[in-house]
Amino acid sequence: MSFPKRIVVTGLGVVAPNGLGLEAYRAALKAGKSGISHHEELKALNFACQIGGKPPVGPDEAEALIPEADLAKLNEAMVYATMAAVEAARMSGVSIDLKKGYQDTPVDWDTGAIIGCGIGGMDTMLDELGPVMSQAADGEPGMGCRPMGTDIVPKIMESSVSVAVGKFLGLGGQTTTNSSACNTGTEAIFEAFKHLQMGYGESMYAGGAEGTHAGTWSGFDAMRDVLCSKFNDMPEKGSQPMGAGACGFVPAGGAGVVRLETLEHAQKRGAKILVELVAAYCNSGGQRDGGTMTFPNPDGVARCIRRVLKDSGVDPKRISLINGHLTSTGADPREVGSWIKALELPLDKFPLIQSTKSMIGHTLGAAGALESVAAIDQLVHGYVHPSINSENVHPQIPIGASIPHEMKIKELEYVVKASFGFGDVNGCLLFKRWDGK
Amino acid sequence: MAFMRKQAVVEATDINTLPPDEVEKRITAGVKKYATNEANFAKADGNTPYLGQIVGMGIESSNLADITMSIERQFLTKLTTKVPLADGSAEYKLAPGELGKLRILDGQDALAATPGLSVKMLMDLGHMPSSASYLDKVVSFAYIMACGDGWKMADALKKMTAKAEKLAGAERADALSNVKTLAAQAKDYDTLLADAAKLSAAKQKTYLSDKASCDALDNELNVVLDKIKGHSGGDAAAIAKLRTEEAEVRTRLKMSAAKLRVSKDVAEAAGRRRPIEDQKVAEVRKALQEAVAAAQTLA
Repeated sequence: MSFPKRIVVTGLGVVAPNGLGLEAYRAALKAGKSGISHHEELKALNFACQIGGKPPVGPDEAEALIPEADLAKLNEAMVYATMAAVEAARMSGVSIDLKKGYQDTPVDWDTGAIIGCGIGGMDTMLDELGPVMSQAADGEPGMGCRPMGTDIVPKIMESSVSVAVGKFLGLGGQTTTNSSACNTGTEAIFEAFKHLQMGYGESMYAGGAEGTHAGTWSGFDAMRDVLCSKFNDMPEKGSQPMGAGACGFVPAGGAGVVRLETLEHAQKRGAKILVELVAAYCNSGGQRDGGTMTFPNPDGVARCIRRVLKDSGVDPKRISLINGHLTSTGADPREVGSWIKALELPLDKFPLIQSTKSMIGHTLGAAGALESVAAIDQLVHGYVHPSINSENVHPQIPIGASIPHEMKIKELEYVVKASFGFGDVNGCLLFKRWDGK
Repeated sequence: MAFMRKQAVVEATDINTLPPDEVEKRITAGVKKYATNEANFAKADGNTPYLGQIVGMGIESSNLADITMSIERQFLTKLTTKVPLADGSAEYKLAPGELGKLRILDGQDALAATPGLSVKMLMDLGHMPSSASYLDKVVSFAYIMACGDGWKMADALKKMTAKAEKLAGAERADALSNVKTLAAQAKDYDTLLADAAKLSAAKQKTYLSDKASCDALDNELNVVLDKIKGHSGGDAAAIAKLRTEEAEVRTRLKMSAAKLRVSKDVAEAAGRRRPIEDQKVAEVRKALQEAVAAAQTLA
């Protein structure tokens, strides 16, 4: 057995603001359809930013997949993670119907999950735990917390999203949650990649999930110029990555899950291979040299991208598409600068560069995963989705010609996906079209 | 509960205005959201255990506190006056007073394993009048336990037999050996269930063992208390150490006493088998016999 093993992707699952399920997501991406809308709830709370990206999931959609009794034990992010993971499992060939019962399916000892979450069960904390805590002092001795009920802990623990997936899919491999702010989803895929490369398992569900509770978004709203507050009456125009009018990111939620497998395992079970994940890396800029809690050190970003290129041995000229982090903030020009620095290509040869966030907003802990799903789907189906709202390119971005404003049909070879998060943390993934070898 | 439809607000009702069957119905409906085994819940009656995936509603043991709270939320009682168990004690019992919130005190729900047994608990505690005709329909805790063990055994044997059937060679031989052992145990358990006196004797043995452990802890506690008395006004460090020891023994004693209470009830009730329990025993024995027959055919 040789190490490191080759890793491929065999399943994708999506819960995005502009589409529930991969087919709807693909259709929305191709059409340049925004999932951002105005939310009266944010207005009522006097948020500066009153727009956001919420997945089209309500009780009907959730109950259609998840048994009612289980649903009561899940926070919003857990529901999204479960929906995305079940879709990824089904796509990879696993037959599963939670409504018909899942407790008796055998444990899949070869498969685990790393599903990250940026903020966690804020809906549970603020809507269930908070009200009880505020009245606990008036309760009977020893009974202050009892009205919370006994399902609180599994809904507020950081690992809630991964253990929900593990429960429903009967996973027997390592099942855990990572958290690295906006890099969470990308980091989860990197961690699963390493895990499988070194032979600790044969298959992993990897990705990220994030809820859409106003509490999750409130801290960002408290910061100046971090959230978009100038497009409350034009929500679909709010997210403008690389655009001249970018004035802050649009908060959102959802989940993306990919099923990674060792090549041998996927081939052995006859799974349809979608793409190969040829290299992945995560690092930090150390919050030095321009890097801060909220801004990345450009050197750290460039090093992260270069490391992926070095590990894969891929000439930057062969990169067909960059799916950037690109949040629609003042950091976009700096990020593009880092890509230019890392790839060392003439500007007129610079690959296409896009931001999925232009349509779905910034899904925080789910961003890297949802955007990886977009990157993989474009490789599989040979298209490039538009990066909307960037017709007027930011004056400090010198590669305007590389930004697709409309959907393009194009055969892609390598797609690179990167994420950068609060805390000056970076992640980069390089996917290759599967050519059967 | 991000995606749950809005739950109807439960208006608490004076429990004494409701017949026992209605109380049972409300208790069952109140625990629905915790029941993960929907198929079993759909056919659940007053004698369906809350816990257990095989014949129970599939409620997780961590949710038992929610069941108690659900019962408390739904009913009002006249047992609302708190009477301290001893002077200055924080522990209390409930005595009649004004109509108010139902409170189930720590440990009182130890035997309330089914909706029927929850109603029995409310009757035993005096929150509602006892009804012999209702209690005749309630399977005792002892038989819920005894039958539950039988169902689990039959299920394990069935699964093991099915697994062995698919294997070959040495693996099959190993599996068949396990099937044989489990089939023998299942057969013995079937025989035990057939005879109420034998079952009672077995449970009595368990009770006596639990009682001995509890008595030993009681003695241990008395020894520690004597030592503390002997130190009165003396070495503070030694007294603190003894107090820690006392707290530890009291914790163990509390757990042991709870276990003893259950095994005592089981031992007493196992020998008094009523028609409702005959029926439950017959069902589980049939399952055991079928599982044993399938195992023997394979072997």
